[in-house]
Amino acid sequence: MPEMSWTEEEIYLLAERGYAFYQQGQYQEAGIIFSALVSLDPLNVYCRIALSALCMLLGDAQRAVNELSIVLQQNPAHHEARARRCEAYCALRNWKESQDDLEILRRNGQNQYIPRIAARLRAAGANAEMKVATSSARTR
Amino acid sequence: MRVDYTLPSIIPETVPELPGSTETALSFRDQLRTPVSGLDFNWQEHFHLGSRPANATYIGPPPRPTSMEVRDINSERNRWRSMLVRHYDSMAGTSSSATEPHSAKVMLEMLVDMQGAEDEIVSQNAALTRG
Repeated sequence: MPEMSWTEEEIYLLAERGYAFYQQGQYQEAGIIFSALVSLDPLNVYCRIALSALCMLLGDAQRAVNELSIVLQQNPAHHEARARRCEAYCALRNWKESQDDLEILRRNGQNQYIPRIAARLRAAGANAEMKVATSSARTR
Repeated sequence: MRVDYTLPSIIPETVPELPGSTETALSFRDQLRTPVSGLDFNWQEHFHLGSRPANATYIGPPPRPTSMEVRDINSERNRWRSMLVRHYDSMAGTSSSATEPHSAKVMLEMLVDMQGAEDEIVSQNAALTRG
């Protein structure tokens, strides 16, 4: 539900403007709009996911994780949000959390996300780092 | 001596009349416009054009509220402008400014500035056109 003074139509008009900025590559401006929209309409999943995408584009993967975690708190079965968070964790090199999300997607049969994220994990050297982390933990 | 330059092998043969063809048959242009039926697959689906790319940086268009009617471009512009004015004015008032989140104020200031710049460009163009 949007704040009292803002109607659903107005939220849509602003989201549409933010989307237009995004399409033109004006990510800062789009980010300002979607930041405001999530504070005006905190339960709006579209706006929160859009904000997370813009955070990724602007290099703030941690905020993207935070926004997507809010979506997943509301609805843990939102697989798209989980796939996006998985990618944000990859950007933060949080391999454990990323692989946890990937495992949940795999368990739920969300196969459309798996090849790309798994490839990204491989490309980022997650396996190598995880092996090193595991072996160092064993030697301790 | 008269030379016949016509090559017999490239003389077009007369096309036999098709059983269904009549004088009132569709023209070639109309045939192109006629929707092709009988395709057992949707090509947009086949090429996955409708599917959203699974990418953390992708945003799709916002879902339009079902109650919202589509108007002409001038009405849409007026709706946008009146929304900006209403909220900007209420933000400027001391009573409601405390209730608006800071991020909403930043957004409104940015959008009002942009609207001002847009209006200025339009008025300059109008002045140039008039001469």
